[in-house]
Amino acid sequence: MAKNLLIVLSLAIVYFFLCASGVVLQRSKNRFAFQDIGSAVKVEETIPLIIGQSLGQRFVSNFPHLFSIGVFVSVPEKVMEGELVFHLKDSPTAAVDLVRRGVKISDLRVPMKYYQSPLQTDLKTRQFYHYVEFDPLTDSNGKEYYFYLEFLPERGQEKSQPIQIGRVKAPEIPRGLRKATQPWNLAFVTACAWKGKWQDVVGVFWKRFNQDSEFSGVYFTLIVMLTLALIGATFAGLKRK
Amino acid sequence: MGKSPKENDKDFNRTILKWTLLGLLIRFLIMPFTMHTFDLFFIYYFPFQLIDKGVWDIYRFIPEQFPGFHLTYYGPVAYFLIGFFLFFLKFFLPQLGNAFELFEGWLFTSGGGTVHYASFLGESQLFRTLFLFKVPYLIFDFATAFFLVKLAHNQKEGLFCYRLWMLNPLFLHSVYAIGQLEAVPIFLTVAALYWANLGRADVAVVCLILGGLVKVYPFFLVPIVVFLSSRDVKERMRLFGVALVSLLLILLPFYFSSGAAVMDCIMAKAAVSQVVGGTFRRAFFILAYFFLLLYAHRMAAKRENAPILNQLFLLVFLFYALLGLLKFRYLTWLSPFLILAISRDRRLGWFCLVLLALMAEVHLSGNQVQWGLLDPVYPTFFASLPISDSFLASGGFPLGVIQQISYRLSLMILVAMIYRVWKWQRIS
Repeated sequence: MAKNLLIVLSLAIVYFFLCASGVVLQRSKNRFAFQDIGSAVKVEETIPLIIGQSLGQRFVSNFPHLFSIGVFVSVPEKVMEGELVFHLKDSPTAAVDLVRRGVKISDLRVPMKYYQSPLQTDLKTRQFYHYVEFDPLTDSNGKEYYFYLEFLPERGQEKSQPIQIGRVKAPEIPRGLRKATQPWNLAFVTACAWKGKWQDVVGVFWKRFNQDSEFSGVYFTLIVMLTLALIGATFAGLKRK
Repeated sequence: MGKSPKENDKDFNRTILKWTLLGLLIRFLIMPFTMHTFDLFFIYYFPFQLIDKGVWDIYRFIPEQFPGFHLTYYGPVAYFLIGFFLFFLKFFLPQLGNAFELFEGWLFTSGGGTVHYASFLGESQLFRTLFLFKVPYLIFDFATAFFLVKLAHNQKEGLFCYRLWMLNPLFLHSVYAIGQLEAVPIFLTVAALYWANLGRADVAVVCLILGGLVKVYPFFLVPIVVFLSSRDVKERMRLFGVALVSLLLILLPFYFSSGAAVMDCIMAKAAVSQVVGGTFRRAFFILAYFFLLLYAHRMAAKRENAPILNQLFLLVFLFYALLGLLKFRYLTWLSPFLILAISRDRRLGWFCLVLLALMAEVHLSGNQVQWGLLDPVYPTFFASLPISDSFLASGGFPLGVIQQISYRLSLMILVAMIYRVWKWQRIS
């Protein structure tokens, strides 16, 4: 029994060590992050991103500090080379891009993001979420955004196939998406960063816990009584021995 | 000089009391602060319709009220049982209606993860609700522990089972942290083992049918109990009759009311989510199952039922797990039977530990089943904490390969466990 407990304890310590190492070693400047809208979406189909056209998506961010958007891409074997450009705007009609990122098709790789959740390891090497990261948008909570993708081809690519973008039917999607305004939505995930301080954790917990002071009082009493009873029972047993 | 039986009993009771207090303390510390997506609120939302609006046929209510909704409720026993508890709990939850209104708005429109539910329910007495929603589980949890002690051969084994049950990580994770209904069918399957051991196979069969009408898996154990507990065909037919009558008594009123919709609570859960898998897997499981039935038939009435029945229950679950059909949290189903087995065969405990570690790597990926369970405490913080796989991912390790290796190793451990449990007959 004691041995088993020791093993469980050791495993827990290893686990904590791994997680802590993850925090220290991860390369992004956004130390904490979580996936929000669209995560774990099962992609229903992919559609080609045709030259001269763009594929876009409106969404409402549910949390502050939006810092990453991942879009599902499918890269055919004989893919048309060129640049995949991601634009993020306040709305479809906004003149200015909040974010603009381009990536060469040949540079697209299965990502290894520490905030991927679930791990998307079942995805094939040519089908994955392509993540774009940017400086956290501090006031993103509740704000509507629009992102779109366009493809700028290199010359002499007529026989190759265009890159494909994943999409899902509106009712099934975007977990957390407050506005499903289109019959189809792009398969995408967003990640938000946690920008608090360690002290905030205790502060927020205490605030949330004390919102219901009636319960917190009863609960606290219950825990104290149980602990005292347990100590009493343990000491009584020791005394007898 | 040795202790008298009376002193031994006193010591036994004192130890049980101590471990009960420790078990309660652990559970109380988990209960108000953990949740997993919409699971717990989903379990209570529909029974709330029973006590609030008098909706007794939930299987008609769901498609009528929420057309296109892809889920149905658990079995009727779960519905009425939770409704019964909620009838009393609602007096302590004045903001429950408000919480369910918010919940409804999300569940049937946009879904969401734990971080969403923990955020928007934070203003509606979330900790109190989580705590009270999990209180009924305590009854089934401790009743299971009671039966485990009763099923053990002697006080020493009984104490071992009780201690292990109080610290059972699978149960604490699935039932108290995730908030799933597992406590009820687990109690009913252990109760079935207890009654079968006392020679009351009919009560055991009813327990399993009731359990199956909460979550489907106890149905698999009915034929095993019937085959092992009956001496002749007549007795066997009688027991199957008891099973059928108790099943129909509960299902027929719903069938007359809403047609085949009620069957979704069995078929959708069993056929779609759990008994899927390739043809080979299914064929292998069916073969193994029939082999176990044959074994039960051979062993029928030859000796004391409990060890053989425990062995057979375990083998059914282990075969099920071997075929990749049992995810990490469903290993909880076999945990009481494993604990009984480990109390006699300690080496099996080592196999279990390794298996748990490997299956955790395979099935517990993602923040929502790890740190994310603590989202009610501070949603965005706990949803953001890296898990072990985050470290591996950021370090460039091939996660897919690691998971594949873990999966293959877990299969090997399962085969070894099946072999060991099969040979367990000698030990028992």
